Amino acid sequence: MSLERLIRIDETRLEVPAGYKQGMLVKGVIYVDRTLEKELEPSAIEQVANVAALPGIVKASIAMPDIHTGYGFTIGGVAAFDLQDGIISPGGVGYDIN
Amino acid sequence: MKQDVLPRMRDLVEVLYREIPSGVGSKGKIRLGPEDERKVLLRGAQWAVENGYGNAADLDHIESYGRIDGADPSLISSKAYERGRAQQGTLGSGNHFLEIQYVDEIYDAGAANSLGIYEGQVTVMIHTGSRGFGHQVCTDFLEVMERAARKYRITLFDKELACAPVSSPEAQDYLAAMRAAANYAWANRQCIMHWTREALLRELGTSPRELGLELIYDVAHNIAKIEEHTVNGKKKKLVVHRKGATRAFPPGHPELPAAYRELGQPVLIPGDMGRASYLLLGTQKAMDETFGSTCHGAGRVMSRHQAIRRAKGRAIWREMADKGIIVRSAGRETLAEEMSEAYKDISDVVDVVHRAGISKKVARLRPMGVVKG
Amino acid sequence: MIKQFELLDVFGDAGIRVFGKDLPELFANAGVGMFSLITELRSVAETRHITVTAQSETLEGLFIAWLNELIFHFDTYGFVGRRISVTELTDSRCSATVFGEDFDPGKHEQGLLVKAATYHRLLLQERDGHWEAEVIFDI
Repeated sequence: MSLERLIRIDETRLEVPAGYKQGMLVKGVIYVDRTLEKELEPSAIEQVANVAALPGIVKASIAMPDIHTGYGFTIGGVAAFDLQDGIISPGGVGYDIN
Repeated sequence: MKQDVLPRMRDLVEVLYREIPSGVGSKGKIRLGPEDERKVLLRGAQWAVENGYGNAADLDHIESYGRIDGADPSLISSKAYERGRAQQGTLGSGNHFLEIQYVDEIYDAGAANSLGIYEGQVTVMIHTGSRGFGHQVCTDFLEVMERAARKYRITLFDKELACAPVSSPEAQDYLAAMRAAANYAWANRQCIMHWTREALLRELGTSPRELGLELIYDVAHNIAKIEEHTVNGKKKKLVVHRKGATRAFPPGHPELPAAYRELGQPVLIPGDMGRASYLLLGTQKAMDETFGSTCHGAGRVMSRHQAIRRAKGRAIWREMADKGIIVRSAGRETLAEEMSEAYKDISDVVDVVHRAGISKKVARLRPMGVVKG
Repeated sequence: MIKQFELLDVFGDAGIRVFGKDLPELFANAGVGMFSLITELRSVAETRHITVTAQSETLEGLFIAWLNELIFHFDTYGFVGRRISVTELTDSRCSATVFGEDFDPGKHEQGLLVKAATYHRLLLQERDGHWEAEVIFDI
């Protein structure tokens, strides 16, 4: 179960607070309005939070309005990592490279 | 113009279906020898142009000019080589497509004008990637990364988040192999675009100048790249992962070609086969908020199964034809799986990124003819 | 006869639930189940066979590697199997003979172009003396 609830930042953005799940290093930001929010899969939100817990993630684990559950990382996801203490993951790119 | 090709749509779709290998078990027209394949991996769309598939001018309108540096073919498994040999220049299956579309609405007249886009204009959109080659690279490296994550003691919530520190040999090897797959994908779309041009020239009996089928932009949406971004007021190099997300660089970005430097990067958002696709531009706000990224497509709302059940007893191709869209597909269930209802409405998705300011709408494109795998 | 496998209704991609009285049977049924997503197996003849070997450090890893090996043979050479005989199965290695033929668009109906077996929601367990697995494929 999530510890904290999602917060609506503005009409197009939803925040997954860093306290949503233990281990998150940064917050998550999902670009959805109130209509698309209704279609958000719980498993996709969980994946946004999981990515926010990866070492060296910068600023936020971001998801676009076409977000849906993927393998490890959501589809519709953007995650940037520091070159010194960050990571690289094939799951963050997906199978169909490019 | 739309009205010039509409009466011929059935023939055009048929010709493209024949000319562009697609679907299960399709063999490409290109047979790569080991040395050619190595060149594809190193040179991407540039390899394609050097081998007669398209024009040098196309390259300016491709992300990373169709070729990302740092690819290392020696890190590619013999399986990936083998799998990629016959699949260069093939469309694939599932949500991959080739569409003949028309510009149905313009949202930004100035930008559209600069891009040479006008209402009623005919466009072609190609959606495919690195095919079996990229899948094999991903499969190979998920194994490597799973071991690496244990080795470097990285705690993971999920096995598929397997990863390694940026500077580790495992991560650097993956990056170099992924770049090879990215180049494979750029070459793939370049070849398909070239054959599309040739087929349309022949079918419409016109000249390249008259046809005017020029590449607007080719952009990736499953890739990791090292880019410079501003974090807390400081410029910093980061490795940006985009999975089902599209680069959307703003006006003035040094990576953009001269032609788009003032405009911002064109972004293509393919929708489902019955509704629409969009042409957008990258913005500064994307740079500030999302590491220069935006959405990539519609996203499913129904599983393949559900879609097939929902389509039972219906002829999806006929429903599409009634809407004025000619579709052709090899797959038994492809059209059912890919029907509009199975996807979110692309307009809702694009509206959010537009309103959020992380890209801006330029034009909406409606499908007239669809080739599916 | 007990059921070999059934289709899972999963979001986006495709998956199967597989049954087997022991691990070799589970692996064989999983392979046949995967091929059944690609085409109607009744139309596949046993005109040739291939030998397939997979290796990994864990049982789950081996199960995925095995299926990916079959996918490799399909996607690279067009081979579709309809019957599988597992000849060797240890904790880290699986060898099998797969009987089938090359995919022919003129003869075989085109189902899904299966591209990879994934770890996503992977389930592999022994229950009441039988083995059961769930696996999702990238399409």
